[in-house]
Amino acid sequence: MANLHLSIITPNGKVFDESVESVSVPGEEGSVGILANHAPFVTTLKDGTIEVRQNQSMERFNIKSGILEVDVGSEVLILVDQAIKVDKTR
Amino acid sequence: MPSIKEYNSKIKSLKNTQKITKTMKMVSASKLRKANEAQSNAKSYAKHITDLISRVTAQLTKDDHPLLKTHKENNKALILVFTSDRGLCGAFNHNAHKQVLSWIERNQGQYDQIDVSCCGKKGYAFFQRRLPIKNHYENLNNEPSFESAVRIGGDLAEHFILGEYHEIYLVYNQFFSPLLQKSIFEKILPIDPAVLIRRDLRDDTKENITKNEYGYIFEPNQKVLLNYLIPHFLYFKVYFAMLENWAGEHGARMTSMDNATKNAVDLIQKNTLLRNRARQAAITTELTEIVAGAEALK
Repeated sequence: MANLHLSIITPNGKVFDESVESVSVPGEEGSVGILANHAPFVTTLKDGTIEVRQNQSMERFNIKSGILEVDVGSEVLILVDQAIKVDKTR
Repeated sequence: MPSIKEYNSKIKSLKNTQKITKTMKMVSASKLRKANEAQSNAKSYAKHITDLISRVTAQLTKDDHPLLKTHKENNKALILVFTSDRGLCGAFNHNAHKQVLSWIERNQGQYDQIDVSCCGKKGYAFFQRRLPIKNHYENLNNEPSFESAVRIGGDLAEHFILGEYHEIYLVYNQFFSPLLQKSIFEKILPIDPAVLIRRDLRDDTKENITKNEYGYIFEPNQKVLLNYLIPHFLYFKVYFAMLENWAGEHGARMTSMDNATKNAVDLIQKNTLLRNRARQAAITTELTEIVAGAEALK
């Protein structure tokens, strides 16, 4: 399966920068799921959780408002004020 | 001539001073490293946010967002001054103060009202008695966070949109190296639309056409996106100034503390020499006395 390249960037630095299968984000007008070869797309994000799926594992990030851009070539860029990785053990 | 005892206590206190300045230098060095790290982390966000604005809109005009619009009258200005909370960092804060005062002197005729907002205790203490203070932000200088930048930026945007001020300026020290900080005087509001669009994308119309052919989907719409992006550009500017100032403060303190340590070492050397000379003189006098006493007994 084709992969997306996802980077999550905050003013404090890169939080995530890897190749993933899919990502789902809390969009301004409802939750949005993105797979590879998505059309170019820009939306603002609400406070909430980003779910990143990668080789059957899932990572979660709690974010505070941001913006998402899908560029041609399956490049996904998320700019947020703050992103905190959710610990799986909890 | 002071006695040996006086020299000893002097040397002791100098050694203590040297210890303190040396420690302060090391603390600043480690904080400077941290600040530099934060700066380089922030750079990728800066690049992406302007990229994104250029992609969302190929052409920005002054009417696209209230923060871009110039007010009809232009006679009230606000200056946001970044300084450190603590002293002992050489001419660091003084440079920023000087910059503000000379700017005001040059432009006084143009404005009816010039107010100052301070970020940092030193600036507040300096301007308190000289100019009207609009806001004073405290305790933000130790590891500036984006959140506090959003707070300050939000205040600035509000002042500007409500027309309380027609122009807003930033003053901060830009960090070049521990030896060199330069104070920067910069207009941040209204934002010049030209700085938001990256030149390489703007000039190259071919690129713009190809970008548009892909047809970005905007959700909810372009306007909402710009309403997010443009204020964030402002917040980021404030955040960046805070970081520069943070790095500059510690760079300046490092240099001045290094100088202080060197001076202390010099003084210790000089005083040790004087003390030894005093001791030698005492011994010589004693010897002469003994010899003279022995002579007298003969």
